[in-house]
Amino acid sequence: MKDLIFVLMFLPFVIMALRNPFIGLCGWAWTIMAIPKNMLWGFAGDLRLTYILAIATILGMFFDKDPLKKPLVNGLFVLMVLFLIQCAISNTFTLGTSASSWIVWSDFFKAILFSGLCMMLLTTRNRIETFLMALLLGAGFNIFFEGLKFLVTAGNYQIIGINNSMMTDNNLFALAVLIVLPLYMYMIPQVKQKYVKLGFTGLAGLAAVCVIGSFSRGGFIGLIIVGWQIFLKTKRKFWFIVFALVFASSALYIASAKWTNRMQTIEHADNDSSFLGRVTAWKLATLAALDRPLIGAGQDAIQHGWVWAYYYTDIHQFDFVTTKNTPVEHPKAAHSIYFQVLGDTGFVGLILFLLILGKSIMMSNQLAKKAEDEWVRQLSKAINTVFIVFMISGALLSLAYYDLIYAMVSILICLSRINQLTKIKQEELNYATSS
Amino acid sequence: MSSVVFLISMGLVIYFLILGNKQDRLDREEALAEQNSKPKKLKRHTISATTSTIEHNINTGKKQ
Repeated sequence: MKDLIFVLMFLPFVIMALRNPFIGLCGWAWTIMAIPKNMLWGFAGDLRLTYILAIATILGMFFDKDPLKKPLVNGLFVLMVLFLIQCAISNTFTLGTSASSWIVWSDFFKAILFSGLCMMLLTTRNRIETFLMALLLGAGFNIFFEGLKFLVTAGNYQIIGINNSMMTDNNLFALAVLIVLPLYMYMIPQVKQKYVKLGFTGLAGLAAVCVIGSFSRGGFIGLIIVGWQIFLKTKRKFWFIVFALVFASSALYIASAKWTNRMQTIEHADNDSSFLGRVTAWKLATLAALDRPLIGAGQDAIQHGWVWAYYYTDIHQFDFVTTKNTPVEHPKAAHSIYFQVLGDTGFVGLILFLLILGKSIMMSNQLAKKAEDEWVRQLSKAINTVFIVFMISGALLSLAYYDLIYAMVSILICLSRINQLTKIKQEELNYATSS
Repeated sequence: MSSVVFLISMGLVIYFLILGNKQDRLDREEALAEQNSKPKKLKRHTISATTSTIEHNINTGKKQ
């Protein structure tokens, strides 16, 4: 019954996507974050919802003569495509299994495709905000349930991640939540409906609860960074301090001894087996990049037992960092966006990746300070926080190919275009009034 | 309970998409009107053809 209701409700997405592709893009964003597949156990569970929406959106773009559509020409997007091509070259010569490398690549390809469509279609304020609304409502569904479970069990429930998504473990879920948190903070003053405002405020609070409930130390550090960034950028500093104090004291009261003990291990990272495992993975990623500087080992390759064992024989080269390594029979994920890209795609890939992040940070900074419209400045500030938290917390988590980050890059490009257009219109107006 | 919240969340998304779509139609109309109000640019070959016709007429003594 639920599946039937879902399909009946999902159909309008598809029809609207064919008529107006920007709506398809919003639906696509919602499915990425809500992961409806996890709620459907009947026939609808087998439907490839994102795929259907993607096809409908692309078809819609061919038939729809959208006067607001913009071309794909942009330096930052070219960098993203070059990075995608670099990943493909690395995978062609992968040391792991070809299938696993290409699975990661195909997900990344979808992320870049999604990002390209965002760049072409999100050309007005209404479109960008409707897109964010769909994204945040999708994320909100998982945040609501996971956060509530943590609160109801008085901090004893540990959030383990969301199945069938990129947020499959607690650390990745924490980072994904941290990425959407500044966007909630942006949307709260923008929405007109009081109940939605209230709902988003609640979801922002629950998002912070989710980060704590994930027991992720990287996530906890990220939460402090996001809090600090929001404090620096908000105009309502007093209310933010009040909210932060109430939240921190309630969190400390609810959080179990297990959580407190876990967070205290941050101070003793040099003796923590989980952290030492990450350092071992970083060493092996560096060894792979030094061995194959132009192409790396291929996406996801280092986690394979034989690739791990092959580079493990040279691990003593990094004994100056620490001699405590995890055993050779326990391959680990890179647990860092930088070492993940370095090991997967070599130095060429890392340079491209850093260029994308660096250029995005610069662009968001510039727009946050100099944009003509207030809303562009506010959204750029939020996206700037997203990139800062991604670059800092990402240093301890493997989420380099996360679609949401590349979508944020596209939104930045769109904001920059909107700002240029506003400037031109302003100049035309000034010229008309002066003459 | 989760199913109900899930369907409510989906309903909310549809509601906001309908609102977004409504505003988008207005934006499109505005963009189209703006496009139509701008004077159409003459293509390069049209301009050169016009110029050469004028030159020819001057050379042959025809009045413009």
